[in-house]
Amino acid sequence: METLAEISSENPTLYGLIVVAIILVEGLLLALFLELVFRILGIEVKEIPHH
Amino acid sequence: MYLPLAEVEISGWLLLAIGFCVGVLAGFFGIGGGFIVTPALNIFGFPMAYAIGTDLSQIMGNSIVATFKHRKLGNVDLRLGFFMIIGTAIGVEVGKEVVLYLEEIGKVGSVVRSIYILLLGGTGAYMLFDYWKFKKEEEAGEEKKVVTERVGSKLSEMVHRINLPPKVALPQSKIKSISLWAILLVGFITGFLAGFLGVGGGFIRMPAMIYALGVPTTIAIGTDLFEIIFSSAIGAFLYATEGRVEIVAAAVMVCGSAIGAQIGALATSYVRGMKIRFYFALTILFAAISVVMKQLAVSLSIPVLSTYAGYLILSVAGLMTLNITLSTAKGVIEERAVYPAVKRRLRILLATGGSHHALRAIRLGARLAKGYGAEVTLLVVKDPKEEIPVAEVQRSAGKVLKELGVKAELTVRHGNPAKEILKASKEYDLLVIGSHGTRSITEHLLGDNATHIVENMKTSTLVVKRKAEVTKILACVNLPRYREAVVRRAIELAKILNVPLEFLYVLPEPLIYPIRRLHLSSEEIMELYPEKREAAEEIIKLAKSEGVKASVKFREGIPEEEILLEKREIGADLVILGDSGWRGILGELIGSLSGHIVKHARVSVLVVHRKA
Repeated sequence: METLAEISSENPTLYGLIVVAIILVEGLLLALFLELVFRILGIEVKEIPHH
Repeated sequence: MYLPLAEVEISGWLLLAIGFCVGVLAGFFGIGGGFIVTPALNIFGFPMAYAIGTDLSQIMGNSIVATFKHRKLGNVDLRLGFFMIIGTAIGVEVGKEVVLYLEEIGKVGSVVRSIYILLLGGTGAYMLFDYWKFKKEEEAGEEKKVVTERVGSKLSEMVHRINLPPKVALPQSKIKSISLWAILLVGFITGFLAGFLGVGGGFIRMPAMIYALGVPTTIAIGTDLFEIIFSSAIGAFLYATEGRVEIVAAAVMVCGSAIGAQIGALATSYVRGMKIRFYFALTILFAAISVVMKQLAVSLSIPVLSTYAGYLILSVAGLMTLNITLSTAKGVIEERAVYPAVKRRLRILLATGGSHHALRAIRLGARLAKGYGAEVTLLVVKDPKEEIPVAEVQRSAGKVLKELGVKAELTVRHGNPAKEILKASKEYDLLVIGSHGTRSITEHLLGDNATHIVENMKTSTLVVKRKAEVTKILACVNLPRYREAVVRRAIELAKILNVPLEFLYVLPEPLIYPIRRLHLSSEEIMELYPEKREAAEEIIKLAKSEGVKASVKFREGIPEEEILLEKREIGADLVILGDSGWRGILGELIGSLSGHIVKHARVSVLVVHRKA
C-alpha cells in the first residue's frame, strides 16, 4: 500500500493507469469467475442470440 | 485496514458490504450507484474527493461485471450504447463548461443542487405516476392486463417520428427505425445533465432511454451499464492522477459489488418491466429527499442533517438490496419448484393471426408457459390482405391468458404471417402456432402456413390443431441427432400436462428387399436388437425418475406412415418429433418428415429444432 501511495505522489499518470488496469482486470476476472460459480450452482441464464 | 492516501482506517467487511449493496442496485437498475457509495464512504470517514474517486473506480469494476451478465441476458444494445456514448461525451463537456461559467458568477452551488433535486424528484415522481397509471389500467381489466410492461411513451413516439436522415435500426431494442440525431440528442442531454451535476448520470440515462427512445426497461438497464464502464473509467483515471483514489478500498468494494451485480442482473429476469421502474422511482425519490436534507443542512447551518441524509440513503439502499435479493431467491426457488430440470426461464412466443384455432394454440401454449415458468410474448401478425381486428384478437388472447394466470408481453407486426412469425421466432425457445389443418386442395398439396413455418423453422415449434387439451403424447425418437432433445422435451411436457407418454422407434424397411416386410412385433424387435431394448429401458427409467408414466414401442416401416398409424392406434393428441429434412427451396420441393406429419396429422405436433 505504501508503494502505491509513493507511485501516486511521484507519478500520478502511472498511478491513474494502474488504477484503471487493476479494476479492468479485476472486473473481467470476477465476471468470468462468478459466471462459472453461478453455472455450477445451476442458476445461470441462457445466452440469448443477438440478431 | 489502513488506507494511506485518504488516511482512513476502515473495516474490509464494511467495504465488501457497501460494494454488495451497490452491486445489487447497479445490476438491477442499470446505474453506477454513485449517489449511494459516495455519501456512504464519506460517512465512514473518507474525505469527499477520495470518496468520489474511489467510488468511480468501484463503479467501473461493478459496471464491467454487471454489463457482462446483462450481455448474457441479451440486455445490452451495443449499437445504441456506442451512439449514446458519442452524444454523452459531447454533453458532459458542454455541461462542465456551463458549471465553470456559473462558478465564475458565483451561483454554482445553489443552481446545481436545485436542478439535482428537481431532476431526481421529477423523474421519480413521473415514473411513480406512470406505474400507478399502469396498475389502475390493469385493475380496470383493460386489454393491457396481459402485458408486463408498456414499451414506449408519447415522447418516444414523437422522437421516432423525427424524419431526419441518417436513420438507424436497433433490433436489439426492438426499434425498427430511428433518426441517429435523436439518439445523439438524448445522449447529449443526459450527458449535459451528468456533466452539469457532476454525477455519472445512470439515473438520468436509464429513464431517458425508456421514455424518450422507447427502449424496453431491461435493455435500457444493460445498455446504460455498458456506457457507465467508459464514463467511470475516464472519471477514475482523472481522479487517480490527482491521487484521490484508494485503489485497495475500490478493489475490495468491486469484489462485493461483483457478487451483488450478478444478483441484481439476475433479478431483472424475475422482476420485470414496470415493477423495476417502480422500485427505481422509489429509490431516486428518497435520493432527492436526501439531497434536500443536505441543502437544508447548508442553508440552515445544521450539519447533523447532512449526516442523517447519508444514513437515509444508506437505509433505502439496504432495504432495496434486501428486497431485490429476496425477489431473486424467491424467483429461483419458485422456478425450481415448478420444474426442477428447468434452470432458466424459457422464452415462448405465442403467435396469432387472429383466427379461432390460434386461441386454442394460445391456451395450450399458456399452459406450457405456466408449467415452465417461461417468459411469454404474444405476437399478433396483421396481414394487410385480411381484415383482422387487432384489439379484438388481443382482448380474446388476453382473456385466455388471464384465465390461466399467465402474463405476456405484446408485439404487433404487419406483413405476411408466416414470414413475420418465422422472423420473430428466432429469439425464442418455443414457438406456438395454431393451424386449421389442410382445407383446400392447394393447401393439401402445398401445405398451409403451419407447414411452411415448420419446414423453415428457426426454433422448436408447436402446431396446435383441433383441441388444446392433451390426453396422451407420442414422441418419435427415430433420429439419433434429436433423440436426447425429443426425450427431454417429451418428459417435460408430459410432466407439465400430467399425461402418459409413449416413445416410438420406427425401424426403416430393409432397402434391399423393400417388398418383404418382416411384420415383427415391438417385443420381437426388442429381442432382435438388444441395444435398442437397453436404450428404451434407459428412457423409461428417466421418465420414471421425473414421475412420468412412459412406455416405448417399436414399429417397422416408413416413418411417415408408421407415426400416423401409431398415433391413431393409441389415441395420442400430441406428437413430438425432431426437425428433419432440407431447408429452403429444396425443402419446399422434397418436404420433410416433420412437415409431412404437421400436414397430415389431425392432432397437435411439436417439432423440436436442432438448436434445442
